[in-house]
Amino acid sequence: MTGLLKAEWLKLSRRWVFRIMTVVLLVVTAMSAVILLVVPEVAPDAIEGLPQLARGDATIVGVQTVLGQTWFPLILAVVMFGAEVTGTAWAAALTREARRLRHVVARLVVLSAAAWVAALVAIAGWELLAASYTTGPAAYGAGDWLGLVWKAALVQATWVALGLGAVALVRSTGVAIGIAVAYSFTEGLLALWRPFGEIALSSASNSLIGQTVADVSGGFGVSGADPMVFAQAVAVVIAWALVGLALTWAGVNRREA
Amino acid sequence: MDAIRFNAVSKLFGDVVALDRLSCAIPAGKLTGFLGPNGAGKTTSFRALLGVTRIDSGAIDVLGMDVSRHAPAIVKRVGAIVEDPGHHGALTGRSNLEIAAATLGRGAEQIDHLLNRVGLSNDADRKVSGYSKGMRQRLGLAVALLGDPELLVLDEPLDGLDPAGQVAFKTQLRALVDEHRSTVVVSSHDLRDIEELADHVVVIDHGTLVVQGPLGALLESEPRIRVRIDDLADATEILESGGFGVRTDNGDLLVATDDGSRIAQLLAKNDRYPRALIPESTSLEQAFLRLTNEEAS
Repeated sequence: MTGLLKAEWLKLSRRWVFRIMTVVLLVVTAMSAVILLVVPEVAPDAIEGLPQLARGDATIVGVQTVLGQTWFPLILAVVMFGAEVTGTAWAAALTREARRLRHVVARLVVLSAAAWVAALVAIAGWELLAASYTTGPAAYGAGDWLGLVWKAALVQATWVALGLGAVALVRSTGVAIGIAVAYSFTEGLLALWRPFGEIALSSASNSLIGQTVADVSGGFGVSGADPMVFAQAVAVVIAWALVGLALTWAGVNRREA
Repeated sequence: MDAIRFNAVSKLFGDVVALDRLSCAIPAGKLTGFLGPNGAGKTTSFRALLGVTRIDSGAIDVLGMDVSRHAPAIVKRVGAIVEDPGHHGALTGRSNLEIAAATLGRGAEQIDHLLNRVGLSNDADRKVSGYSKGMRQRLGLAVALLGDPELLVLDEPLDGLDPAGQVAFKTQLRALVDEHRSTVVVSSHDLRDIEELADHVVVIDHGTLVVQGPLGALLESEPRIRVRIDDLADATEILESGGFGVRTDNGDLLVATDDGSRIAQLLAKNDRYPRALIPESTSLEQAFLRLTNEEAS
């Protein structure tokens, strides 16, 4: 298993896709931060109706905004795994290590870790601006930040699993990217529909992070669905992760190799 | 001892029968040519023996182990190129080898040596997407050789190589068998390659065995002599009356025998004198076409 993890790390680290996507994530996060944190502070009348966030809310909105960039883990998974399953690299890999489940787990672990690191970097950048441009008591203590580490990992792993599932099933990177992007942008809207909101991944991931005092729903990637209780949120996220893995497993077994 | 043994292996893709109770054996320590027309089931056989394709019935033993139960242990001892080397085009040749080594659970110690061995040292740090077909095949061979496998399974490895590349590749394959006592199984569309390379041949068609055995025995199974003579009709009648099987071929007669002196005596007795008697060895291509045509009819 260590070898497979190393192989996945080599594939990720030797390609530009992860670095470029991380830069895009940071840019998108920075733009959101400028609009939600910097503009209300330096030019309060520039955007009508935009609330001035307190320090605590700013942190929660930032975490939700970054983890709401679901295109990142989805597309990372689709591009990286798609490069293998749409060609012969996947079958060739099976001629060196025949256990499909190990391959899938190695890809899930490494790609989730990569998406998690990128998210943490973006959250750190947001927090830096929040500390500079907002006032009031902090939302998170040390324990909350430690909790965020596993929550962010769980959310990113779930989206990665769904990305792996999409490309494993359709065996086309372009089509899978289309599906992933469409889903990541519409899922937050679908979550506004109450029956789906009860099981929506974006709603569950937001509920894991915490609730803001101010109403900033509809912000950049922040779902406006009703919050879930913590246990339900964890269960929903894990359930979606299992759905992603099941789709991936079905995809890699549905066709030969 | 057999390195690979197929026992009544069947595989269907929907309604298409890819393997139909295929039974054959590939001897250890030899270079075996695995032959068959397009769609005969060669690639499916290779994928099945590596556990990449799951068979519907029958059993495959590789290196003494059942593939259905021991595929993970088997593939660690096998180097393979099936259909395509399966490289990551966006990465360099060296990175591809590093990834393959890591997947096998091995370190990078062998990589420089293997790159040198397949003549890719100078191109190791170029992206594979910029490689020629021949370079990709050579990189595929380097990947297959990682870990000094006991068995090499190579699907059309010479496809796309230039003549110099083919010679170098064939020399390397032969050396693996002659010097390292490895078992090598090669499929190829070009039967002359197999004729030059192989010790042993397995011919399949429509997913079933046509013939298997040492290459020499296959080629010697039908000795013939080409008779160059002026009066073909008379000569044919004379030879047939003498009990020979005769047919015309490109203005000559092909006589099914290896005894040229009997042909000469019989013709001379009837005042016919051939210009030449040429012992004709069956090429693998001729044997292959005969065998697969017999199978088809």
